Amino acid sequence: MKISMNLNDEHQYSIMQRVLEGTLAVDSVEEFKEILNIYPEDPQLQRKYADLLLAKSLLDEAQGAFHKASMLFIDQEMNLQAIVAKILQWSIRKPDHDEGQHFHKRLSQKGAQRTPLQRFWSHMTYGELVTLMLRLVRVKLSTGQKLACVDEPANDIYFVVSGTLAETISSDCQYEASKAGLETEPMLLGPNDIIGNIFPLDKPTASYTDVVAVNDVELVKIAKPVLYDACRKYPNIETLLRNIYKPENIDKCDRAWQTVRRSVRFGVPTKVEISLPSEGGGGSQIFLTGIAVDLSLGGVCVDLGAMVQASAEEIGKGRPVQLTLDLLNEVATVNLTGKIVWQRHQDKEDEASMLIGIRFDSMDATDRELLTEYCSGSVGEQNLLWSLWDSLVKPDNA
Amino acid sequence: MNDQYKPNSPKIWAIGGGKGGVGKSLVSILIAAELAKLNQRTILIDADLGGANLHTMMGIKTPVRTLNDFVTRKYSSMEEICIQTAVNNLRLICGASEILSLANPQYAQKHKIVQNLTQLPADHVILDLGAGTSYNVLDFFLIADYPIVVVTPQPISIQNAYGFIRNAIYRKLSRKASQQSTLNRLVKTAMDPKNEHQLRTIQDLFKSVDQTYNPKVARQLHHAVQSIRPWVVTNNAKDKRDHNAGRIIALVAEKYLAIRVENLGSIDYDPQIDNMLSKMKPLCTLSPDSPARRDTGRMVYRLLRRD
Repeated sequence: MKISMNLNDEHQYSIMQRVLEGTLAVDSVEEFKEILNIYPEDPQLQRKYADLLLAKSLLDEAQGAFHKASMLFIDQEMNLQAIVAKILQWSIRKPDHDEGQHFHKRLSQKGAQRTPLQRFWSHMTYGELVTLMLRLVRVKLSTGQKLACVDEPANDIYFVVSGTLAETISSDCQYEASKAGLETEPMLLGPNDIIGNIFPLDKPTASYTDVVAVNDVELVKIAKPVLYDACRKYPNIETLLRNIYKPENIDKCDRAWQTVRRSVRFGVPTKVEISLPSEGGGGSQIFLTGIAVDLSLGGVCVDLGAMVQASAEEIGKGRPVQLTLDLLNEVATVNLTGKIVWQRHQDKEDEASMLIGIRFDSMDATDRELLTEYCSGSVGEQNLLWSLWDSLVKPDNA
Repeated sequence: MNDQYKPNSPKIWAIGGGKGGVGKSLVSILIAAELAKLNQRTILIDADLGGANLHTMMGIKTPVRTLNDFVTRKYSSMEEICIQTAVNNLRLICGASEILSLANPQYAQKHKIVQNLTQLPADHVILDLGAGTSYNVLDFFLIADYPIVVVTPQPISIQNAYGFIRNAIYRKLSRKASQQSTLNRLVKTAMDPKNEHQLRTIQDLFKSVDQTYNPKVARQLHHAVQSIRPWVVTNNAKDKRDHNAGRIIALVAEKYLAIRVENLGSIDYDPQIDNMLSKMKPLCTLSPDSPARRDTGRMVYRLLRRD
């Protein structure tokens, strides 16, 4: 099929759109080059071109095209897409150290950093980025293919590279909505959306929704156990993952944040920062960090891990403490005071850790409300509450 | 039905909801006024022991007698501290916000209040509970014949209301299990939403008790939970979709808490109320044709008809 390029701008644009959507197949390299000449800076078109070259086994040309696509994606603030183009380029020929470093530097310095997901990719160290890139697996779905089913195991995390998927709430929610005379519409997921429950990282999870491809979709996935191992090796990856869940001013964020379900933050480990004032004016203040393993309105049990920077006496029973809980709330962290009421060592499978129990002093109404909200149910309960809220109550314009 | 019920005891209504500012006091007043209008002898009690202000909404600036006078034995019965209101058949027992010790009464004080509630010469006693989910609030909620949770159509309010019901259930289970340490530990574990034993629903807890502790006790706990039948009222509904807030709580509670929560209905937003509150006019004198009174009337009728 020969495409005439002597068309008006609108028609040319329409042809490009059809190529990108896959409704117009361009099998000829020459024809594709002609389209590229009109839109040389379009990263998605460049990526399609690279795919075509790869399919035709024109490997050297494909490498160059993937590289160009990757750079264009970075310029267009599409960090994930840039990484995927680079993965494809490097799957043809392994990069040397300098090439890897160069890409990392470019992504770190030029990659967009406005949204949590953009920062997730651009704030990694070289080692962290390479670790993840080596473990991401490409997945392609065609129209109608299912990615997730309600209540079925969902232990892979997917990042949408391109295409559209529809997420449907559980039949429970749909039934309840229909009883209320409301029709529930699927939520559309697009590029940069995340599918799957990242946290808890070390536990299997099930899907709360059905997810099906609306058109041809490209994703990259990483299995949770693999991600867990990567986080153990590079704790900063877990920190960056946590940050994806931090609510931000919606104006600043793309769809990536919007579709990280609000309820999912209840599954994210609660980070606790503890400071112990010096005793009797002598000695210095002690600072500790840990993860809340049992948080209630009355107190918290904190897992301080294996490497506690204080002696057992220094964090002994009765010591007053100041705590900051990061509940990933839009408002702020919660600052509380309390007393250590117990401590013990716990042997886990692979390492020991120190646990301390803290009883909170009285707290003000705002902190109490924030904690009540946070402690008012499991991830499943919160998920159902939010799904129902979205489908039954949330105003159409919200 | 509460454990203290006697044939001539008044019906006890408890109005709670977790979050402050959702309209618990408003709903309490409207229900009380509606019952009084039906010639039912009604006593409204400000049970917000930490921040009593119901009397202000009833047009009383400085109460002459409060609940504190009863707790401190100035008066020997709760009837003596009742204050007549502007509404026929409706009396009020004021709370005591100035007495901090009452915000967290001792068991004996609480027991004394509960005992006296059931002896009040009235057909209905309405308890306006405080915000939050402290044991005292939950305990008053759990003794009610009509435990009502007030919610507004906002996500945080819905979460808080659900959390309130969840906490009430675990409070009841904890009390049942308090004398048995292993059982108590199981209940406490299940109460933690992120517990590591994968106890995610009340049914998971019953199953665990059945398999690891005692099947008979599991049945008793199940029975105890089933005896809690809360009602949800959505206050401040401005839109048709807002009326669904109560349904959300009902569905999630059915799935995770194994209880039936009934959606009692909604009270539409009523600008008259804002106006009266800002002018400190007693809410019990709200115009009979106001949407809020109309909606409350329907709810009270629905509940009384069930008996």
